[in-house]
Amino acid sequence: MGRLSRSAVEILLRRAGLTVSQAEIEELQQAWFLLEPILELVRAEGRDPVVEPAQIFRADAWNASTDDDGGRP
Amino acid sequence: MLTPTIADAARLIAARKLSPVELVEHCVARISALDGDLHCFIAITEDRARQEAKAAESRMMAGTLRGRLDGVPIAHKDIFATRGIATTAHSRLLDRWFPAEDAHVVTLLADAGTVMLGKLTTHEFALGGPSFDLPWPPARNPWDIERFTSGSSSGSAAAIAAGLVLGATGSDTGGSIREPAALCGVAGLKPTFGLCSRTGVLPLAFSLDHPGVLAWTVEDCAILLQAVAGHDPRDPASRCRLAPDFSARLGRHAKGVRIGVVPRWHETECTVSEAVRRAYENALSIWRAQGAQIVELDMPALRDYQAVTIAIMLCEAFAIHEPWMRERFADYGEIFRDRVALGALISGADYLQALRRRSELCVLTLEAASGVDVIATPGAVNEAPPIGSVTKWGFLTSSSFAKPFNVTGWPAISVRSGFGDHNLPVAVQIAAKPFQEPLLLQVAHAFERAADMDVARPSVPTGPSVQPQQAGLLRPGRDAPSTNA
Repeated sequence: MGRLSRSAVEILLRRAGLTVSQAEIEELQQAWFLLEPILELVRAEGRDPVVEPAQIFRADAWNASTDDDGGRP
Repeated sequence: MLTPTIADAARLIAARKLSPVELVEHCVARISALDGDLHCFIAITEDRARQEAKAAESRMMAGTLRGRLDGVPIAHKDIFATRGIATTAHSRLLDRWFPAEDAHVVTLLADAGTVMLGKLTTHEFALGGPSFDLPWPPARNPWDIERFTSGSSSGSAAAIAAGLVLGATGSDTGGSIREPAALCGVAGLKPTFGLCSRTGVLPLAFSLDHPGVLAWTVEDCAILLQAVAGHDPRDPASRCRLAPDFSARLGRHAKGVRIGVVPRWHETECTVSEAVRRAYENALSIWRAQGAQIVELDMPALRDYQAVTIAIMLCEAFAIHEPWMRERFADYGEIFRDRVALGALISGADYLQALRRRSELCVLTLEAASGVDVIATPGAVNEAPPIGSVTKWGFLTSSSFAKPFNVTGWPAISVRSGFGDHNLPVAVQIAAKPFQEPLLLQVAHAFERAADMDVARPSVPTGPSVQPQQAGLLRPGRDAPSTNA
């Protein structure tokens, strides 16, 4: 992913509904440069497309806390 | 009177040799004398505490004590809801919020007979700190009030170190119990994810938040954990398991325990100070002498855990705060609002990739640690830095040994392991596999006892009252249970 331009940062913040000063937009863009390599680490090239996330929806265990087995037959 | 440990107070109260009323007056006097410098408390509930102490004393006299925590003064991090008592999260946004009910953990501790002395300083919503643009100043480190406490359970760790309370609640999303515990020289326990209820604890990041406890010793953490662990049907992450006896293994050596170490983490990936390194190696020597086996592990890189934690935390925090961020952006402190605004820039796909990476790291961690019982690392990287040196964006570039166990949800504890530069405390961290808290506490306690960690508390605010003979290795003047005024 390419680096976010200042205008891109401004658009994303506006899309999020935030009213941010020009100085803070500048600063957030600089901080993005620190964050971007961090995000590269979670993208993991070559990951098997079927790898599940850590939080998995289970239809029979919506209230998982009542039964650690997720519901017995 | 010296501020006792919870274990000592419990023994004395049970023997009717310590009055809960006198104990709470001791704590109130210390708060009155010291908190003007330390800023541990956002609210002090001394009238309520006196009433609760009288009730505990009545039970003591009647022989109906509720257990080891009956009559013990504690306080709560101010993200734990307390019925009828302002719960601010150290934020202007909640300066008039009076919850209708207690957090589940608060209820359990009250039921155990604890005496609540008040609400403790944190970082704004457990992330934004140290901030100087909020209605309350940040907590100061009792070992040197110009030094950082770390956070976000900053008031909790500082209040225990200074002997203002005997125990406290905390929460840990990326090290927020263990790192302040390390810099303030107290014990801080992050239990397994799902062991302690999050109900009524203001969230920072749903999937990483761990409520936990802090105290002066490992044994005290075990006593507190016994009260707060257990199933809560209102918390969907709460696990339905019977809580074991967390003190059952205390007093045993580490003989036969296989302790994993990851030298790469602290030697090359995240280089620790000389005092931290020496104290860590001393801890390994102590365990080895007890008969533990030290095993080198090939774990994933710290930066991988760091990346997952940051991506998930920022996205979940922004989702939680989005409505307020839109309406009241300027009411937040600068550090919190700018850090969390970064979450608005992260794509949904990247959040999901972080969750997928998290599942991979959980598998890799378990595989790497398959041949050991616990993992030992240094606690914090360095001694406490000057409070003015902490930057807004440092959390993006600095590594820590805490985050692997937020990502995996494994239990972990920080234990005082010595003193380093400027007589500031350093710590060792021990982690165990999920729900292995009794073993974790055994190993931590075995070290704490053998290393003679029962040290004097700091004399506030003029500096530590103990003089280690050798930086990094503990040998201050011992005066159990503590020598604070």
